[in-house]
This record gives sequence, structure tokens and C-alpha cells, in this order.
Amino acid sequence: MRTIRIFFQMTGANLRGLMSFKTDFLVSFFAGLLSQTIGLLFLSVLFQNIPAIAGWTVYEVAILYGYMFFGEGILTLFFQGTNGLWHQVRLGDIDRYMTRPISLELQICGRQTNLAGAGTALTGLAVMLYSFGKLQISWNLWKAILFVVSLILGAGIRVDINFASSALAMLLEGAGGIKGAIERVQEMGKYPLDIYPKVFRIILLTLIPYAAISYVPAVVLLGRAPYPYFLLLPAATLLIIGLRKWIFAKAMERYEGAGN
Amino acid sequence: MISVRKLTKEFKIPVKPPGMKGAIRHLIRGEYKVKVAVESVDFSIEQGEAVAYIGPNGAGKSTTIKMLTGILKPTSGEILVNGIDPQRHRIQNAKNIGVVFGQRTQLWWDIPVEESFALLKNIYEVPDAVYNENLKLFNEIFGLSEFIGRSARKLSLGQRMRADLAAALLHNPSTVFLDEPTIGLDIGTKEAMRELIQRINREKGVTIILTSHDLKDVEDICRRIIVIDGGRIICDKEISQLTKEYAMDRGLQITLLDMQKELPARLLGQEGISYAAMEDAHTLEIHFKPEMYTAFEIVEEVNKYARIQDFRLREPSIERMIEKIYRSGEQSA
Amino acid sequence: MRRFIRRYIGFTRCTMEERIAYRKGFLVSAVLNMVGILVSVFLWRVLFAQESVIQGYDWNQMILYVLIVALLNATLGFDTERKLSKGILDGSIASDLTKPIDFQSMSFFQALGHSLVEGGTALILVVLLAVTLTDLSPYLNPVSMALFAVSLMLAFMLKFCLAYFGGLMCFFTSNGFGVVYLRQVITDVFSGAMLPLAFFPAWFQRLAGVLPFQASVYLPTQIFLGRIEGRGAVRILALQALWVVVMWTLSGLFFRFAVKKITIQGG
Repeated sequence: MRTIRIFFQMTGANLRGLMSFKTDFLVSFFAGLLSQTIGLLFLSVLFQNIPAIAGWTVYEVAILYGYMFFGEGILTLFFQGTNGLWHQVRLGDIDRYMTRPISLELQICGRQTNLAGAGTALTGLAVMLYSFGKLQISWNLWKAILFVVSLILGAGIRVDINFASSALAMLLEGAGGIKGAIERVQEMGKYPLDIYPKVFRIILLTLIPYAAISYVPAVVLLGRAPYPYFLLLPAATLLIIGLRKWIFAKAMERYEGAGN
Repeated sequence: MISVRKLTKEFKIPVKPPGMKGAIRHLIRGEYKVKVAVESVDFSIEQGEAVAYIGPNGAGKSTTIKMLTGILKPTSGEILVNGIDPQRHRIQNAKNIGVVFGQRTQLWWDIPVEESFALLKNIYEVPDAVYNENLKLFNEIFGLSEFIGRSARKLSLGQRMRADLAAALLHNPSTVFLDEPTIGLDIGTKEAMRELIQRINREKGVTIILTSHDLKDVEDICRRIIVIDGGRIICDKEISQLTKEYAMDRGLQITLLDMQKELPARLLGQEGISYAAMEDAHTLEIHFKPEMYTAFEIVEEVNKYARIQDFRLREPSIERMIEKIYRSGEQSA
Repeated sequence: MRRFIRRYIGFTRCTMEERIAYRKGFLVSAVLNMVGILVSVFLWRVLFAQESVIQGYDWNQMILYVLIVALLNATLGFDTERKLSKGILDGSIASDLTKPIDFQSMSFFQALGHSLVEGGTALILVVLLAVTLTDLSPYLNPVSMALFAVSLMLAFMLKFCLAYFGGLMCFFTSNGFGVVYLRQVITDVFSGAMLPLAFFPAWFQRLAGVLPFQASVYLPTQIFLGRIEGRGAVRILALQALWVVVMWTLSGLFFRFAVKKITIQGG
């Protein structure tokens, strides 16, 4: 509880800091709103030329997009500090965090806040709600609960993947590219899992579980799979949390401090 | 209470040969070599001591401090800070210590200092009474209230360091590590920093471990000196003890009319002359044993080789003593 | 000309060494390109399972299109622009401005060094993928290959000019991210990097035809795929060259204007 309070205090302070640059504050919010334009443009132009992707119509695919945007938005808004761990090592930030009596992960997460994420997350929500409307999904209490849970767990997975890959880059002493590569894999979360070969499907549900963010809840909510299929989402969450903890612990073990 | 036994830290350093060929070679098989930054260091520090931990650049000072504060894991050896292994029980140790790294700020860059303090108050769980009392003390010595509403980004270096030191002391740590706390500061700020450090040391019995290249810091704050060079401790003594040993020598500073490069070497060969070096092209610094020479005899001796324009007596300073310690360390190594 | 190149080629060498020195990052960036390509490949594989030709492209042509776009983007992507705009935003450009060299040329030769390394690895990857995924034989005639090589070089120069021009926009705003992003959207859409221009409505294709972006991605692919041949191809090369000259000159003028504005405003 204390941890969460301190995290929000940090985030609040960051936001107030951002607000001192008023125009930038608004601009970054709108930039966040527009940041997914390319993706949405691609989707709409593509679907003017084709009827469906592996049986998924444009609004069904848009829901996958929406889930990915939302996760991305939450990551950017609250957890941007998980980016560039290697950079934080070199700046000596990690040194500073280690002299404080709270968890390192908490300080890393709360390091940076970026309002652009609010715009991105809202875009994601809007795309999803619009598409659900177009698809005339029949809602019930169960589905509503699952939807909310999927948003929270999905965002959590997104943050953990980011943290884990950032820690992996730190472990490999600045191989920043590896984080970029894992981040790119999120493109795969924007399409139905059915289009990928088996190996990729397994990876996308376990080691780099982007499909658990989007595809897993979407197939359940769209009625393409039975409810129990949803359990893949919490399972993937637990797995990625474990993975993140393990990689970060390894990275810290190898940590040699800044300036050496 | 800090005790350090057989503390050693090794780093693995990538070897990157220069040029395109070298870059490609490193790409194919990365080569590393081991560098020993701290080698089998032993010392212990009682609660309430004020200790200067000094040495030339790259001697292993910062590495030691980082191990004592739980940032780095020792390669071997044992550290106990107030009975706690700082690396294994990082959070517990962090509650009891305060740390200032002179070159980097502890404060949040974009938010007002006041808010940084409030955050730290929560992080360290500082009771309101302690927090207010401390703010009052810092205000008195540092004039914090002038700039506490501004963000760290907008502070001058002097203000930022004051805020940084205050931030490190907010939670009444029992041990404070200061790594080059006064680097780059103006005299006024340095004085204020020293005053506060002295006060918490004398009034609250806080243990101080200080590294600094400014020996005025050392003189004002510390009562004991540990000198590290090449990763090894070459001297660990009370300052009063040091002064006794080295102050036995008298010092003279002699201004010469001619350039005399070989002069120090010639003088050093003689018994009873413990130190001789050219400060600049025309200034000779010479130390001698008073039981063997009088000052006048020394002047006479120098006068044999060079014409003297001026001379004056030099008080033994910490700076000279440490220079001698480095020198003797080199000789014994 | 030789003296000019000798003066600036050092920047290329340095950037290349720098790129290679980040050994793990450099190796991994190859994998990174791979991921982006793979998503497209999987997507098109499913789409071409339903239909054999989409908007005049068959599987072979579409995959080759995707690969050429990937090659061009890897060679000179948005990194260059981001770096340039970062220099302008944080003021580190100032130290470069004090050197007795032409900033634009220096930037070009630095980008070249970056691109030779990145493009080199990407080329290996792209050729491997092309060989495994497509039937290359219809496209391997010497004439069109030579035309394509020239077209690629021109495309690289044009891409640099566009990125450089976009980077300079940062002189006029405090929000560099916004500018870079906006240009990224425009470039991706109008250059044909997102999808072949044939997928867009007719009015859009006409608009894209009069803008410089298509000459940096779309036109080279058309030469390689043999969709435009002979004199048409030569005309494309001329058009690309024209755009390079126009954008290079415009950037130079714009830069001088921007620097003057900054000196007047005092930063």
C-alpha cells in the first residue's frame, strides 16, 4: 500500500513538473491522441482492398489494435521510466535509487511520466468502443468484467515486457537494439494469432505475450472462443512477471555501477 | 559503526583496439581484462567518527563508497555497516545512511525542491516533528527557504548542493557518505556545507565518511584520514597523530633568481632533508629535520647552488603530509 | 570534388566505426529489421491465400515490395532525423556550427556512414529473405538491376534531404517529437512505404505524384519490379535527381534562414 502511495506521489510530482511547460503539456497529449494515426490509416486503406484477414473483419482487427494502443498508452503515461535502463545506469540514476530504502523497481517505474500516453490510451479505448458498437456485441456483466480485467492485465503485461526487455538490454551491456526488437514484436499483437506459424503463436502467448494483451481477450469477447480461453491472460501475466523479475535480478547482479 | 575486512572489488573491462579493424575484431570476439579497483582493504570506523577517505583519481575511493552504500557487490571480503551487510540488506541499510554524490543530484530534476523533500519524507518515513526540526536547522544554516519552491533544474550549483545535502540528512541518518560534496562550489557554499556537516557530526554524533580533493574540507571536518592508492590503503591515522609525525619537520619556501631543475635532487640526497621539490620554475619547497639543521643553514646550503631572492617559513599543511604519504606509498610499493 | 570528398569522408568513417563498436546493439538491429518484415510477410501470406492478385500485385511482387521498403527504411530511417533534431533541440549543434565545414554536407556524410553499416546488414537479410520467399528470376536482368541500383542511390540521397529538411523544422518549435512524428506519418503514407500507392484512392495517387516522397521509396520499387521499364525508368531517375537537387538546395536555404533567425533571437 505504501509502495502504491509513493508511486502515485512520484507520478503526481512528475505531472506537476510537466505542467510547468504548459504548451508542451497539451501538445504531447494531442501528439499521443494522434500517435497511432499510421496504424489506423494502414488498417483502413488495407481493408479498402481486401474483405478480411483470416476471417477477421476490419472492426474485429481494430479491437486488437485498440488493445495494443491502450497498453502502449498506459506504459507511456505511468511507466516510461522502465525505458532505457542502460541509460539510467550510465547516468548514475541506479546508484541513487540504491541508496534509498524503497524498492528499485518502484523508483524506476515512477521515474518518468509522459502525458502523450493518456492520448494514446484514450485512442485505444475509443477505437475499441467504436468497434464493439459497430460489431453489435451482446454485452453481459461477465463480458464487462472481463473487458475491464483484460485492460488492466494487458497494460500490466505491456509494462512487464518493456521492463524485462529493458533489463535484458542492461544485462547485455547496452544492446539497446534488443529492446527495440522486442518492442517491434508488438506489431504481431495487432493481428489475429491465426496468421502466424506455430512457434510464433507459442512465443506470443508465453515469452513475449503480446497476443495475451489483445488476441486472448478479443476472441472471448467476440464470441470466437469459450470463456475459459480467457485464463491464458492471467497465466501469461504471471509468467511475464516472473520472467521480468528473473532478468532484472540477473542484470542487477552484473551491475557494476556507473562511471566504471 | 562500520567494519570492513579484506574488501576486494574487481571489474571486467572490455578491450577495444582502435580503428576499424579493432572495432570489427571486438565485434567478433569481445576481449576483457580484469582491473582490481579495491584490493584487500581493512578498516573500522566507530559511531560518531569523522573520517576522510582520500586518494588520487582512480585510487578506488568511489568504488569503496559504492560498496559501503550497497550499490556495488564486493568481489570478496566483508562489510558491516551498523551490523548490516549493505549489499544483501540494501533497504535496511539505506534507512540508516545518507549519501551525497557531489557530481550528481539526488533531487528530482523537474519538480520543486519542496516536493522532492516531501517525497523523501514519505520514502524514508520521517516523522513530522523530525522533518520540521531538520528543515528549521537547514534553513538556519543554508537559507533553504529562498529557493525551496524552485525546481532543481533552476537552481545554481551552490543552491543545488545545499538542497542535496539537506535531502541526504532529512531522515537523521546515523552514517553519512559524502563523495566530493564541495566540488566546484564557491567559498561561501563550501563554508556552509562544512558547518552543517560539522554540526551533525559533533551535536548528533553522526558518522561522517568524506572523500574530497579539497583538503580544507578534510581539515575542517575530519579527525582521521584513510589514504587509498592503487586500491590499497597506504595510511590510516588520526590527523593529530599525522601532524605530530610530519610537523617535526620544518619547511622553507625559497624563491630563486635562477632556474634550478636539478637542485631538489641534489638536496634530497643529504641526510636530514625530508622533502625538496620545485613548486614552479623559481620556487623551491624544502623540508628538514630541525635537530640537524637550522633554517639559516638550509638557506646557506641552497645559496651555494643558486642566488636567493626571498624565503619564508612554511607551516606543515595537510596537503604536504598527504603528498609525502603518496610518495612513501610509491616507494614501499 | 575529390578534395571535398576527402575532407568529409572522415565523418563517414567515424560514424561507421561508432556503429560497429556498439557490437551487440549492431547485431541485434539486424534482428530488429527482421521482426518488422516478418509481420508483413505473415499478413500478406494470409491475404494471398484468399486471392492471388491484389491491386495488380501478386505474392512475389508484394513481398519484394515489402523487402525493398524495409531495405530503404533500414538504410536511412527515422533515426537520422531524430538524431539531427535532437542536436538542434539540445543545442549540441552549436559546436558543429563553429567548425569550418558545411553542416549539411557533414550531416550527409555522417548519415552515409550510418547507412553503409545498417544498409549493409539489412541487404544481406533482405537478399536471404527474397531468395527463400520469392521467385527472383524474372527480375534479375542486368539492365533493370543497373537502373535500380542508380535509383536506390538517388532514393537514399532524397531520403536524406527529406529527413534533414524535417529535422530543420525543429528550429521553429519546442516540440521536436511532434515535428518528427508528423513527417514520419506524411513520409510513410505518401512515399508508399506503408502500402503501395495503388492501394490508395485515385485522388490520393495524383497528390502523391506531385510530392517528393514517392521518389524516395515507391519509384525505385517500380523499377525493380519491372512495372516501369525503358524510357519510363530513365524518366524516373531524372525525376529523382531533380528532387534531390531541389530538396538539397531548399534545405541549404532553409538552414541559412533558420540559423539567422536563431542568431537574431539569441537562441
